[in-house]
Amino acid sequence: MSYEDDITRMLRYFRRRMEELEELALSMIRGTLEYPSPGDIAYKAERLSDGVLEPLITFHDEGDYLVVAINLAGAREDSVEVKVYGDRVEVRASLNEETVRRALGGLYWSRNIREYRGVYRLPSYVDPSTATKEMRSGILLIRVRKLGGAPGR
Amino acid sequence: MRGAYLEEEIGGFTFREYGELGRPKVLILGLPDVGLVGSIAAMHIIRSLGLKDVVGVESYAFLPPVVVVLGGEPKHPMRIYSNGEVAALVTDVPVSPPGVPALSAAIVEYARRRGVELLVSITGLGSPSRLKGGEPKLYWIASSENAEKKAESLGAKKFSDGIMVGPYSIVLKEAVRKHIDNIVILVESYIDFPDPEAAAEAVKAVSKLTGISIDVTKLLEEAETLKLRLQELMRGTKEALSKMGKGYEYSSTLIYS
Repeated sequence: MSYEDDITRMLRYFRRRMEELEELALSMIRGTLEYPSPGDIAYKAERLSDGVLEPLITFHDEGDYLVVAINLAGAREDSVEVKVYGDRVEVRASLNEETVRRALGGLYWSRNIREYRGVYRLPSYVDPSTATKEMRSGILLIRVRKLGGAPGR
Repeated sequence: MRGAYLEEEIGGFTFREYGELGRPKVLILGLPDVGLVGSIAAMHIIRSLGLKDVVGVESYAFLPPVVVVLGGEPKHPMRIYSNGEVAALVTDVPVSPPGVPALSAAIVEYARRRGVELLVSITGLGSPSRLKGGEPKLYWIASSENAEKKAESLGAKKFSDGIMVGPYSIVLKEAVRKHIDNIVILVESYIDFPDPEAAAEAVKAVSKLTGISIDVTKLLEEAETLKLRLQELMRGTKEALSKMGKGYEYSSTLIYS
């Protein structure tokens, strides 16, 4: 193998490494600059000015059943309204004023926060007639039998 | 935010010392992770032991352009609190995923330069059993034989097989590389909700490791308030974790014991 071949191979190697570095740098810049879009901010601000917080939700697959957990910390238990449909769940609950004051007291927008409200698409179709609900440590647990298929997919 | 009297740049992060850090033997890391267990535990330790805000950690490349205002005073979103014996690092904003490796390595190097003997990483271990009301179980990982001896005092199980993703994985690797003792405390927790009850278990573990009694009664009393207060940090953290490949934690290792 000639000296020229070695140089060409080396140059190719460095070019590949440079391309990889460039890609890495670009991905880091993209990741760093990912801030909420103006649309997200406007939506959040609108909800907050309406006095609404959107609760966190998580799903747990138990085989034949789906467990939907919704964080309703600070909600008045007697005010929790839940509607389970075949493809989604809707929740609404009034917040305890004292808990909101303690939790978010210093934040200027918190004065108006009055309730939790959320509509969530489920990861699979369910039979709403089988739904059972329970509140545990500020978390609403809904257990419901799954049907086949996934809504919106 | 006071003017720093000492600034040190490590791997793209600036450590601005504006108070008396002292020579803390233990540095507790409360970075946002599963269930915000580390963040909540570190916050409770800071309040219970009256640790002072002495160091701001800043990166204009890897941290969002944020200033936190506490009691009318502007502060860095990522801070180290200390009483000279014990220090704790907390952040009010999730770390951008591309910045996680550099930040984790910088923290270990900063700890090494300041003579910290033990790094305590606190994290949640997402477990569906928490939704069923199960008591959160605690596990540990140690970086060295010396750290292992300390961790055995916890009376908890050693985490034997699994994959850990996120800032604490880099902290652990760097601690091994730099011969600093690191104990990772993993407590079963909610995956997507702030979990003060799991954080209370972590605080009890820190009490055992340091020999300093830290009462968790107030933390448990305030659990519901914290679950509401930390909703937005949890939302941001959840997004950051998914970009970090946190899902790998639920896959098995190739080789097992």
